Amino acid sequence: MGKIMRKIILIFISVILSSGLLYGGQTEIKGLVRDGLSHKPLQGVNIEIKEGNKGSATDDTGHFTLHLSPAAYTLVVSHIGYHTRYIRVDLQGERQQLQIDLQPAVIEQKQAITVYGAQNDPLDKNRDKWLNSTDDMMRRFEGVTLMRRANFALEPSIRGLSYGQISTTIDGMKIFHACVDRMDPATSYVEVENLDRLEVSKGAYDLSQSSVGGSLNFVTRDPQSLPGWSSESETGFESASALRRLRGELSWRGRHQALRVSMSLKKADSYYAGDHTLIARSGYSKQNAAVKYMIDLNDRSRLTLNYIGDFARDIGYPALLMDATRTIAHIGSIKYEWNPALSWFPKFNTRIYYNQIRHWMDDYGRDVRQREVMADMYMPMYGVATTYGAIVAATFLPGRDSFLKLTLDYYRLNSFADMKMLSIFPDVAPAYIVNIADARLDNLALIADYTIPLTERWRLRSNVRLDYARRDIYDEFGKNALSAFWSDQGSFMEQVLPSGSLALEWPADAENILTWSLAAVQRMPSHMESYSFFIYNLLDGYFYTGNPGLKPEASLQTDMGWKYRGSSLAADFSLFFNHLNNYIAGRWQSPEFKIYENFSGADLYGFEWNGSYHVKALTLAGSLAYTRGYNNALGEPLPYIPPLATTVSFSYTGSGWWLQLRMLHNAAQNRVADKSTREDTTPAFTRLDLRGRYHLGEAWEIKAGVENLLDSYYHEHLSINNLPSPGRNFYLGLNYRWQRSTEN
Amino acid sequence: MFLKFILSLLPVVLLLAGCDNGNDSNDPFDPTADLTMINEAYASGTLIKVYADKQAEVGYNRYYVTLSDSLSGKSIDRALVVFKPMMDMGTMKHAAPVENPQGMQAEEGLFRGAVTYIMAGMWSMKVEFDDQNGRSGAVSFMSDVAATQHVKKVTGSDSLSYFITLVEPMAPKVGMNDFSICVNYKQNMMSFPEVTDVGVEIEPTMPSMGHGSPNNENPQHSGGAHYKGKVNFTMSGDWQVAVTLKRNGNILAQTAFDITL
Repeated sequence: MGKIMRKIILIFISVILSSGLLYGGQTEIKGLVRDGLSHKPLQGVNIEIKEGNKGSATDDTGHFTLHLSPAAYTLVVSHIGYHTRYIRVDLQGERQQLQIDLQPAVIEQKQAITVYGAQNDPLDKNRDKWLNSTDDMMRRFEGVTLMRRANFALEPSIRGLSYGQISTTIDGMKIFHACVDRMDPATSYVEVENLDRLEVSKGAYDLSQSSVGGSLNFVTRDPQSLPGWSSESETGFESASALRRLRGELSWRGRHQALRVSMSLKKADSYYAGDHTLIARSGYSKQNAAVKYMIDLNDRSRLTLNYIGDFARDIGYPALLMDATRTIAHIGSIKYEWNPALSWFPKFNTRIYYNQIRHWMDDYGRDVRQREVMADMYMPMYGVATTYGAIVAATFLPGRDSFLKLTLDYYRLNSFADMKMLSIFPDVAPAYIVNIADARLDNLALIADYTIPLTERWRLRSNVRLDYARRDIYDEFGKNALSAFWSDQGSFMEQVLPSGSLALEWPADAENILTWSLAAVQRMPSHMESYSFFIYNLLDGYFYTGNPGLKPEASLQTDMGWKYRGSSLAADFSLFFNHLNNYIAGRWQSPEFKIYENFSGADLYGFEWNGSYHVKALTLAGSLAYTRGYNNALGEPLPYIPPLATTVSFSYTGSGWWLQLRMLHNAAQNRVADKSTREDTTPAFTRLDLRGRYHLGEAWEIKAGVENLLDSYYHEHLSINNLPSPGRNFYLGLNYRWQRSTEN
Repeated sequence: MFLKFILSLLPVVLLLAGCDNGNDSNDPFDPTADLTMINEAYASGTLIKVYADKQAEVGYNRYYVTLSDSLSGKSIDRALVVFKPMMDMGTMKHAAPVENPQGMQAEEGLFRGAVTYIMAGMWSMKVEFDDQNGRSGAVSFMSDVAATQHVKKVTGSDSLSYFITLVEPMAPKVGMNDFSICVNYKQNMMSFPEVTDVGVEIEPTMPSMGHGSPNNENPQHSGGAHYKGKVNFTMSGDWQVAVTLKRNGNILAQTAFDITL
């Protein structure tokens, strides 16, 4: 036998061996690799054996298979964009099934709450959710407080900052409110069944949006990832407001296409606060329909069309002078995703979007004769906000483990609002006001988001953003009225705003991750702060006027975070400090009028903590959130700062059922504003909730519970006009899920 | 042949030349274009014409007078022009506040003056002219003065009768408007002199709503009986502008004008 012949035989044998034809005595390992946050299966994940040169990769359903001789191995699971994991397996002959979640390697600046606690994972804190609306989703975050004007559409506030200081988006696309009295935050135009998750950024470190306080991004739900059909429907009832709710979704995925449709109907009567106190005129009815269609144009690119329609009627706002009679929202987008087959350029996507929000309100249902301000007249009001835009984003990999994401983000907001004042007396002429005089705002932003590893462990993420903003008003009637307040200012505004942030992440060991962030950011005034006219603020009794001469509000902020994940204990802690410059608030102009102005400075600081401890089937969890704010220019506390909020909960998971007792406590808030607006102190309160879930077989689930078990009568500090929260509320829901997969 | 051609062009040339000439007698800018002629008369070889820019009504009425030679048509730019309004109420007669054209020089061919009709009804008007050079005369006409709320008669703290006349705004709009008034007092039935020494404060409100507006400017004296300021109407509807006259810091008289947008 020649040398060549021997080589050939050796090669032949090793090929046979490595081809796995010699199965005898080998054990199979099957696994599923998922994204640890979104739980989406990951394709193309490398699975290597540290001890040898065997390997595999996951397919497009996230699954892999390995055949190995019985022994102990270390699997190295790695994928671009994720922290590599090392998993010990000890093969003794029987088949092994693994489920591996990979954590994204980008320094996470968002917290996310998923809508449907997908797996029955006792560590999943989302499982106790009784979700009636997006308000229930927002409540789950420490540091997020909701401002209540009704039993509907609560407006979010992050660490004491709200409205123009924070940004709200759907899939990264801007959406604005239409009502000048802030009855309709953008969060009210989506429903729970439209969403996969809500991502909250506390603090303005994530510059994908322009803000000084943070952002809320609602991520819409895709059709199911497995081929086949599935549907889910849920009916619900709540006693405090006699709320009846029905929601359903149908989802289908084929070889190259996928479709998801969902709908919901809600009807509530006026609700009862604690002590059997009826809050009159606080009911509403709301309908929502959504469609998402995806098609793979080829094996590298995909087109997604998305539409959400949201319609509500007869919404009572007991905290305000008027009720909303109708709201209509149309939200649509088209997304194109392309994965170039280049190792340094893995992702590209572009989206165009359009949404239109219309809002009607009036006081025809109120007793206008008795009203303290503007008595004896009806004031029907109308508002419309249309937003359209385009986003182009590309992700590059300049090196191993480093990412660069470049985004170009443009949007235009067109907004108009007007009102009539119709006296009940026939001899008084009607009055007409334009509240927003056809404002048109353009915003173009370029964002660069760069993450690099500094050492083996330290990672740095740096973000820069440049905004170009331009706006003006075009309605002549409204312009004339405003010009009397501005004295030669003119209405045109143009501004360039640079912003930057840095985040440092240090995984101290397998259980602890420390982060430190710093940001210097600016935000444009909102369209109301620039151009609104004659907006009555019933808290301080003044009419507010916009000011096109406003400078952007600027912030210098820093955040320190610590995340601990042990085997039975988990905790998150963050400490923040935020200094605002050119803080925007109302300045006294005359005994009845205030105009928006920049004030020299405001400081906010505070902390959030949440933790959970698991022992067998029992989970003990708690959270704390505290913010303190001070207005340096006026020498008083900032308004609408929530007090210390504490929660403690005990949960027990049985087989097929789950029960939780949760206590919420808000300390008294005695630090109130007096000069910038009129605020009163709020007493402390405690609330007890009992929740449970029970699985009736594979498909059915019963959710039931009692919120505010003790029927406490209380109001939160951020409740406008001290509108009380609901009293004892029994809820009951029935959920049905069905799935039929078509494996091909 | 060529000569015939030239000759045939001659009328055309003359026609065009004629069109270029003759601008001395036809003034391309006619200052009376937007005005209505009330009456005209001939006296001392002079044609006097009186124009107004609106129907006669209670309040401030502007009059425009032109004088021209009745033969040549040439306008006369220097004359003394005097307005003499009179209301004959049977038992007595009375005049009205008057602004005669200042000096003797016409501006852009017009002698500008004004009369404040202090009440509705039939008024007679005599407009006299005298160029101090031999030409003099008058034109008379009757006016049926319509009622408005633009003139307020108040008794001052000094027991004199004051007339406060709203001059602007006559076409109010939402936003900033010029606000001007005239202030006269009644010396006797025939004489209503200008008041030039009062301080004026205005305060606009919407009576059905009880709110006012900011950024108003109190009228300042701007010659004769006139006081000019600014008023801010924040919305359409019924407004009431309160006017306070002060002398030496003490309130002399108060009134209010109802303005609906």
